[in-house]
Amino acid sequence: MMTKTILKFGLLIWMLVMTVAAFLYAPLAEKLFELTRVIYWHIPMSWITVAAFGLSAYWSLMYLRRHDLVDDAKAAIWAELGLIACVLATVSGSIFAKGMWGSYWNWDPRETSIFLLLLIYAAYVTLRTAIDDDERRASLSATYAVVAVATVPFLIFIVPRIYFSLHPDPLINSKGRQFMEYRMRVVLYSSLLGFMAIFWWLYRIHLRLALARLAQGRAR
Amino acid sequence: MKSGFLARSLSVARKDWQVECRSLAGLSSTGLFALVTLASLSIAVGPYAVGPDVLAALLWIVLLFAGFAGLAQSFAREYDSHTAPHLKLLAGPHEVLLGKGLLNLWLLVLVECGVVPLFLVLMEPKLPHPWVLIATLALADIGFVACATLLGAIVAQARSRGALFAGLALPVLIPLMLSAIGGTKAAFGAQPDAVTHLLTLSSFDAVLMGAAVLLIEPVWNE
Repeated sequence: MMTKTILKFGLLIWMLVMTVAAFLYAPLAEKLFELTRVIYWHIPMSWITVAAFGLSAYWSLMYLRRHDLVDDAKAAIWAELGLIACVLATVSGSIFAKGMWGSYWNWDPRETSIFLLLLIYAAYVTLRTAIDDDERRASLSATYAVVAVATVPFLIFIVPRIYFSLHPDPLINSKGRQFMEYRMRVVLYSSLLGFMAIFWWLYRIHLRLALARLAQGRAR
Repeated sequence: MKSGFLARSLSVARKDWQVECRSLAGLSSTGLFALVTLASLSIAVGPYAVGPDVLAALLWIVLLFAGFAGLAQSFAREYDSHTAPHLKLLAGPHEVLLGKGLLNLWLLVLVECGVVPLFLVLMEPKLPHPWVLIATLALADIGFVACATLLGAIVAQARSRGALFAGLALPVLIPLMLSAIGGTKAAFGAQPDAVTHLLTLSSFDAVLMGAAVLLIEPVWNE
């Protein structure tokens, strides 16, 4: 109990220090000026969006193999958390776009990709609300998650290569080089670690709730 | 059952076609939807000069939404008429998938045979590369039908099917739609490179058909 409290306060302090460092420690990027700050929230949210999507698809696949409702619960939790991260990535990206290109939305290939991930997450969550039976809901939503993840390589790798993109070269790029100053990278990775810890924490809370619900359902 | 896989799949397609011919509900609603959408677009953009880029996008919006209106019905009909358990006894999931996929493809091609020439007449785009348009339509149809048939099987077992089908299918089909629009632009002479789009469509078809084959079993046996 004590360790958990210390970890929670540690996380709070970590995020506060990261926020202060984003404004006072990290330098401004060339051409981005004050918009540089946005990337310390936008990039971690985008990465968590994709990771949560991958985890949701993984647990969906596990459900299709083992037919264990706990796997389905994990897939649903990651989809819901991914939806939150995706909304935050879209909003922060939109703020960046307004400052950079003068418009909140330009249908740039990367904006299109993140918006479609948002739609896929929303469709998955909506599908789950449209089916009452637990086993059927688990099976059908797992199938949808796997179909959706099969199209993601097209969204992330192929479409941006066909269409012209305004988006800055991503941190993980085809040249395998990171175009970022050392202090900026320190803040960015600290932010990523902090947000990963927050989402993991949220996942654990949701999982405990889902397991309690499943146990209650089995006891009936 | 003595008949082979293909024969059983064709039996499923033939059975669905006979059901369709009795009422023509799916074909007429899809065709009417496409016609109404096309007429609305033609009236709306009639007085203005619209470039081939926009026309290519408009054509695919008409075809995609007309497809959404009709292709979701194939599995839903089995559940509504309580024939799904009987069909499960007569044919395996892959045979049902192929049979219903073939019929959906046939319905989509029939609708396109009416809508695309009408679109070309009403909107008057230049068509320097008609074969590119035909190849784009053929490749896009395969991916569209593979996705729509599998998602139709999912949606048939859920509530509020109509709205849900479009909501589930659209995000998955956007890469296909973008490539199909690219190919159509090339056919209209607005873009030099059609090969990239046709290759993307082919690989997307392969992914969607693979996903449909691998995933139909848990959906149909649910």
